[in-house]
Amino acid sequence: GTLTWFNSLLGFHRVKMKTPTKELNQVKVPAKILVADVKDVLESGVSTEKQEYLLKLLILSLIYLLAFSTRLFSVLRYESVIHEFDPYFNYRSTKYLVNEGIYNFLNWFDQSAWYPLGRIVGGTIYPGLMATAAAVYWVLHAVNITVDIRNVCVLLAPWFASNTAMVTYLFAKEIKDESAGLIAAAFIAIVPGYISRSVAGSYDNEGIAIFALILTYYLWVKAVKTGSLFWSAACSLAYFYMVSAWGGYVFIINLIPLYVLVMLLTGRYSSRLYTAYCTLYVLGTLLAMQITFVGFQPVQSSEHMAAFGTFGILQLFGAFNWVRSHMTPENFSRFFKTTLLAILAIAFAGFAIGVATGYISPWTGRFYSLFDPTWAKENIPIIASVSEHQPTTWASFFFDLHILTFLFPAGMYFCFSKLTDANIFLIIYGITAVYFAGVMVRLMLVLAPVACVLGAYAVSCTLQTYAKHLKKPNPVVVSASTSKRNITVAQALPVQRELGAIMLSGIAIMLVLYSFHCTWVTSEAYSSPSIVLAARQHDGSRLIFDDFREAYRWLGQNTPDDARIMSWWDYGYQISAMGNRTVLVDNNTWNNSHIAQVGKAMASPEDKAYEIMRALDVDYVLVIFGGLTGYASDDINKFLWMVRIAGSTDPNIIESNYYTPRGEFRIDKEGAPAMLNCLMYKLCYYRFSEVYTEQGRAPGYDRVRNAEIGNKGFKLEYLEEAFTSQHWLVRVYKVKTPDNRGGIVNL
Amino acid sequence: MKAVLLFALLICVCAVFAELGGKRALVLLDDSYIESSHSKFFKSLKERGYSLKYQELKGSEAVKLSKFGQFEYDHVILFAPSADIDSDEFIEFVDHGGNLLIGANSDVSDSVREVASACGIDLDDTDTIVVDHVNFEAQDYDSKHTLIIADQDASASLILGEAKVAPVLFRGVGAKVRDHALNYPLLKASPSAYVSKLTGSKKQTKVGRSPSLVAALQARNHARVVVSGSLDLFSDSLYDAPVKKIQDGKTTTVSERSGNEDLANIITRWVFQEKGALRSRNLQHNLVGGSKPDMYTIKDNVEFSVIIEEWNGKEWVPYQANDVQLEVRMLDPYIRTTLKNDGKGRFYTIFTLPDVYGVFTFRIDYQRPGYAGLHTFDRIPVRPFRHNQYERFIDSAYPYYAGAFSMLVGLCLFSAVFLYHKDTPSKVKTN
Repeated sequence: GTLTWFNSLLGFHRVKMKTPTKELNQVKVPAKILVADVKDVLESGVSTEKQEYLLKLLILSLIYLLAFSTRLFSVLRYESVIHEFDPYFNYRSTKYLVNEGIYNFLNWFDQSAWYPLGRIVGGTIYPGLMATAAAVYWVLHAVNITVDIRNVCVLLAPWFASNTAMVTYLFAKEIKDESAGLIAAAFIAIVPGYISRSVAGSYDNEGIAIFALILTYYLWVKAVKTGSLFWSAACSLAYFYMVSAWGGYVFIINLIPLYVLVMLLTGRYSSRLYTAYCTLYVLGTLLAMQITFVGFQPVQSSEHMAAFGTFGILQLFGAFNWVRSHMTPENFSRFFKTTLLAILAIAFAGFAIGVATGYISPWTGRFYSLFDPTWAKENIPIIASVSEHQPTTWASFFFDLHILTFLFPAGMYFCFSKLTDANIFLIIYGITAVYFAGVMVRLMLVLAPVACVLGAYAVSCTLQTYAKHLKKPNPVVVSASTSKRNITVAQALPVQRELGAIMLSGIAIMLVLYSFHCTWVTSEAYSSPSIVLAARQHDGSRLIFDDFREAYRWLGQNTPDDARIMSWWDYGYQISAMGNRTVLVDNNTWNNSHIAQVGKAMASPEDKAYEIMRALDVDYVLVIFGGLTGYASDDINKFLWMVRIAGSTDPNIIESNYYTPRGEFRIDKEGAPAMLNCLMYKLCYYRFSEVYTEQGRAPGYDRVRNAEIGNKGFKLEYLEEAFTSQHWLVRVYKVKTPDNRGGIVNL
Repeated sequence: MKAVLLFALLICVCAVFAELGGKRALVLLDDSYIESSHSKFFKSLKERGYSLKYQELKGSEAVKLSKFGQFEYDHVILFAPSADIDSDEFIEFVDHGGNLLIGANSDVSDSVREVASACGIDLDDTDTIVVDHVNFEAQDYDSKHTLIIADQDASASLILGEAKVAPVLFRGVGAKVRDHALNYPLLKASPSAYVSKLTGSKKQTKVGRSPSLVAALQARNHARVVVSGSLDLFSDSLYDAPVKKIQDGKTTTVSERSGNEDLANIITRWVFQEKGALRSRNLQHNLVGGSKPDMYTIKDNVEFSVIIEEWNGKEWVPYQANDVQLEVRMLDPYIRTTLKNDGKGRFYTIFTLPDVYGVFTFRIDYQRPGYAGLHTFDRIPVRPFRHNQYERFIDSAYPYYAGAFSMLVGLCLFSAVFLYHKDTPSKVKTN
């Protein structure tokens, strides 16, 4: 059933992909002009407003479909499969939620993760994603559509991307107008920076969080504009959804106070702002505290203090305003000084007491990382080891945003040229998002929506300006006749209309290029599930490496139910979701020292490692090895991070021991002895010296490191090979039990 | 269903311990005269019910310990030090639960040495012998002082029992015993002993208490191995010999009869599992006054019990001890407590789980010299409180309750006043 469904999607998809991506941008962007054209075409008696409305509806529904279908590449190429690492945990916990119900999910103590520590899943996750998927599942089942929970999970992110496009339309419409909204919606439907996190199968928090983020901002702008309690309350509900979905909610709860402060400083304080912020802060904070994982953070942690401080300042501001209206200026000035001093003194005393009692702990890593987002990754190796925490390169800005990189400052310019409350919000959002996106690759996700809105702002302003020129065929005459009167006006050129046409076609070309780029990026870069690898052979055919699933299935079928698997933390979620076995560490990197233990075992010689593995009750060890196929992100290439993380808790593990005297990381004969004899090396290269990998090379030639391995023909004393997948990508070893006669093992 | 499982378990347990009480013994000899020269030793075994099958090892005749993948003997007495045997077969025999007694001498072959070494007992080089110029048997006065008088080692008494054995006469090769919990030296030479080359130069190779004379291995699968450096220790001639010592030029009688026979009996009783065999069964734990849940909750009170039994040579009887400990651990031990013994073999205790969640191991790791090691455990997760298991109303929160309710009431009052209050003074002002 599922397959045919996808096939039908495929057919649909192919048709849609060819036309809308190119046409949508050309057709719907100059909406205002088209309205006129369509009016000529349609000879019925439908009024302009109705036609406009129908056209908008058509465009929006096309965007809706486009946003969904462009994210289906991976499903069509591979299958309906969950991608990457974290989504596997989300998928597994969603299954638990669907099977066991809400209360058991809330109280779920997962004994198969972080052995032997266990993990309280209910209290250590943002449950929004699972709750959303489960709700969709329950609704569909209530109307007798018996869809598998996996398919709900796979397709949730694309569906939410469509919803995000709709919300972005509303957001941009609130800031500028409908035409900007339509362009923004079209932009965000295919912007690669967002697609990277929301393709089908990428079942992660970010997929729904961006929707919640834009929804919150839309409602916030609306609340500030109207000053209505209703919209503010709606905004705090959207904020609550965001809090339940993603840790990035901290961005909202800092951006909005920043905006309020800027409004105060620029003298734009209004009762609308007061109502909107106070309602949002009070309701939002109370709601946020209902999420177990967030708990008391909104009133204790330093990330939330800015919001609290702004709340206080806003009250003072309002109070002083009121008092001023009842006092003479001299009295007020005296009153202002004394009260301000008193308040500052009380605030300082409260702060000092809080710090002294440990209730507030400002000088932690969290605090530093707020001011210097690079702090964590410079000081905590486990954060630095994640590739998506690296700084963003210029190339990746262009790759993820394409023309929006250039339209972004243009949009800024247009915003500044016409400052309104909403524009100021957009400006602040844009500036902060650029800053954060520059710090970390993964925060590109936050920048993408605002880049779309600002880009749409710029495009829509430009189009509106030049479309007018195009529409009126007489500027040449007008400019000629009024040239005497307005000599300084530069645009009084005789080629106004041509200029307009050139500008419009230039923008059209840019938009076409953008849509080509987005489709290409989606297809080439962001649609591989990473659990199934593909490579091109010499004859151009595709070779599929399905080793991961092969190995996880092997684990699930051939090991005891309570077997404990040791692997590097990257694979923890996948092993527990697909292999259904207990793991020592997983992608929820909450316990640094436990991960360091695993790193230490991997970095130690076999006998030392055996002691650690016995102490941790390890039954099997799993390593990822790419030397045979040339898969570069394998465990040997990650090995230095294991050493670093192990070294951060155990000073006996010294990174320089694993380098050659010249400071190189090598696996051939020149390699450091500690490297050539550590457990990870032995497990990866066990019996590798018997294999010819490349013509004209000696056996045991590693195709990733491009070197012949330095330690050949060794035997394993404390472990035995249990399984090696077809392309040697995954190798599993069994830890031997202590020898009957004491033997080699002195335990 | 449960009964079937229990029955299956019982069969398994029986299968594991089937060898206990087994009496089939194979005696391997260099030369058939040993049968007569050691007749008292073999006779005592026969009297204790062992069926002995003798086999003389000559040349390259191979020993078959197993037939169709089954070992045909429960015990093997290897009194053929110079024979060339298939050491792997003997090691496998031990790994399958068979018991092995090796008598060696200075001509010990490499293959026999290999078997001993696989059991953690490294016999000294061929053509060496233990010499003691102080504690030697007086009859050996004119010879090379190779018939030495050995006293029991302190640690050996734990295995050998409380009874003090008379000094033992020993002539043979020494051994070095690995420092491992599974190995024990049973008999050690006195500090004045050393190891000397039998022929050629008299260069001493080892001095001091290091040469062990008789050593044992208690394997993890409950199999037992004893290696004696002296085959003569079990011989009739040394059984009856008096122990005389030359002190200050005078011959004094230490003992009218040597302790060899007593020692041999103690060794055979131990190595053939007549004593010191332990087993545990029925490890149970549950909530106090409840059943065993899938997961405990932190701070639960848990009842724990296990039955430990000892083999008395004929049947399993309750084990009597008061030093069996339970360890409750999750990475580190959180509780370590001595179990109470009810005299009927049931060891039990009641404890409160710590305020820590995780997968806990309830473990009994009972290692005593001379006893088979007991290692039994059960793993069970301990979960934190559910959301509704916390206390509902706590004293320290009453100010907050009061605050919340007074706020509610205040808001209602304020609303009422705000909505229904007529602002008369303002009228006065406008007037």
